[in-house]
Amino acid sequence: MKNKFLINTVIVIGILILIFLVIPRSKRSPGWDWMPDMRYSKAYETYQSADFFYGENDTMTARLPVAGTIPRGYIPNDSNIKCNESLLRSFLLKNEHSGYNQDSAYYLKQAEMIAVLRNPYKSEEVLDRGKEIYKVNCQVCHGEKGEGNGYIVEREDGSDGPYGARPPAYATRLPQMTDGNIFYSITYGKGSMGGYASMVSPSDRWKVICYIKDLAGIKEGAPAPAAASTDSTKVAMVK
Amino acid sequence: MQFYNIMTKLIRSQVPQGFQPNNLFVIALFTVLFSFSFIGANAQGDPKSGQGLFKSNCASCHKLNEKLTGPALTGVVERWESGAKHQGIDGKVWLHRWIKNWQDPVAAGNPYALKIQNYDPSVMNQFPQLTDAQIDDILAYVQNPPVSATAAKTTVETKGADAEDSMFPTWILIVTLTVLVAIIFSLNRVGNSLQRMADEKAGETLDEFVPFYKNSKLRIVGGLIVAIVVFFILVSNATALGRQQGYQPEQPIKFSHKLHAGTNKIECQYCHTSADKSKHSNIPSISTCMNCHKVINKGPKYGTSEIAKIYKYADFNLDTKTYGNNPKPVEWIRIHNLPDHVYFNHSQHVSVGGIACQTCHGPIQEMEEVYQYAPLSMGWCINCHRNTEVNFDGNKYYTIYQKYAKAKAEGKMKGVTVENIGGTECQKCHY
Repeated sequence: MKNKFLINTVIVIGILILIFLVIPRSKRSPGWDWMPDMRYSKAYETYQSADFFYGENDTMTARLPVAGTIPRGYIPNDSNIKCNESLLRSFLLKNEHSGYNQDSAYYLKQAEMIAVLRNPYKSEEVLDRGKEIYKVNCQVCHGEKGEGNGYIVEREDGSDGPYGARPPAYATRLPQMTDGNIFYSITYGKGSMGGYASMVSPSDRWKVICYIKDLAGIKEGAPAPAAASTDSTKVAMVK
Repeated sequence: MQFYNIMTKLIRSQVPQGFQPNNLFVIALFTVLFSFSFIGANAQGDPKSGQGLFKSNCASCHKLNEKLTGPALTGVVERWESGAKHQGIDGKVWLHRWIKNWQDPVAAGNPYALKIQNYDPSVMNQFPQLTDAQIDDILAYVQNPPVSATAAKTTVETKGADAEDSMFPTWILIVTLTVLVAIIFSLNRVGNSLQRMADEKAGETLDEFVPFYKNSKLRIVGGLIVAIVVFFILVSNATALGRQQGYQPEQPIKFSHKLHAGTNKIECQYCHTSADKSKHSNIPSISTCMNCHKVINKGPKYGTSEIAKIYKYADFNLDTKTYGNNPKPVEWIRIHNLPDHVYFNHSQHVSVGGIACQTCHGPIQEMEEVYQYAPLSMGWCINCHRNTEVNFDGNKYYTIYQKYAKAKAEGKMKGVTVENIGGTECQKCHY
């Protein structure tokens, strides 16, 4: 008698477990877990928000670095240090760079400044890497051959893509620009194009410049455009 | 049009050479001929060739009816003609000079040029390479755009009803099958009892009828089948518990990977830039969205509502095209989550292994909403490590495995898998 009761209890519990397991869970919920304290870390993970900071919008665990922090491989804003990033940054600092609000006098100064920046790479050595960067970051707008007909600008059949601002073809635009000018445009954006400072590293930017000049048919060692001729300083450039 | 161009060039080249009767006749003839076809065209210049020039030179910053980086260009000729007459020179001439080099009319003190030179957010490019005829073509296009160009709209994809449609026949099938089985079963029973009645009437003696559920042999076999099925369901569901496969949370912005990576063919690493550089593949910052959505403010499915959310997070003002000082991070919901005691590195798999994103994340380019495709279980990891061959000859690092190199050269080994070089050792992932 007692034995039968036990067996029945076990059967009922088994059926309940079965039902619990078979009930389909909502795809909107991560569901149950055997050991939640192992799956969900006590330590904060990347991009997680935290509740112990003060302020309504201040919940990011990825905090800004303390003021004065310098990243690895940092190049200070010092125009005495003759390298591209340093020159560009010290110039921007001096001229209170404020994104896109440039008056015409500033624009001229910028043209002078970017005439100083030099590409540290030899074209043929970095074309492969340049092509990789181009394919991922540029091709979707500028097109496979740099004609300004990327896939989101123009479809294969010639109809308009969703992106309305068609970039100019490299072959017509690049001969007017110095290397430094192109570097500046990639770093901070130009017109409708956004800045790629956070997406493409400085050395990769120079490599992709080699590649797009190759696309535009500009040979290495070709005379620099007239705008750059104002610069007479000779600066040895490292990365 | 081409014909007309050639003829106008002919006329232009002919006129200064003197008024010979022959030339006069040609001019008169073409004037008569073309005055009919060009009644109503208020600009000289060819809008059709202007369209191509506009696309390649102006379209990166200007639209006709909408503000982009530069102002909307509809009515630009009228604005210059009415407002920019200066030093006795016509406004349209000043406009030509502005397009070639905008600093020229500014230096000449043209009041209209002075007014617009500090236009936010950017100063204009210079176009010294454009000829006057080309600029006329462009302006003709701006004044008289072809109807198709202004009426062209992005096509709206209407899918989604497909899924429900395909569900319908399955239901019908199941119901029909059930009904059929029930009919067969009942007919069988009716047939059996009729047979028995007929047999009884004939006076034949029968064994006592035993229902099938009281048959002891059947009971054992049935019990075994039920036990196996229950065990299978129990085990498969118990192992799936906690694996979160198929998890598809609702995200704060209805971002469609199908539209971005599928339809528009944007590379995965355009947004997830750190997948080949870091342990984590990054969630793109809102500035990456703004690279395109500064220009695109209307989507094919949700219209402006979802893209307006980006502007709100970025604190971007669409009318003035300027950013405010109060951007907010988007709180995306994390889908793929490995337990803390498992180490996984994206750059190792993407950069060194050369594995496509889709291998683990599934057909992302077809997902309207992303879900967890792989179980992310340990067995799943190990299986892949056992079956995947490393790029043994292409990577100089692997020259340290001399034994494998020798075996491979002798033909004893076809390829070197991840397992061979220690990819299934515990401490590779658990430490």
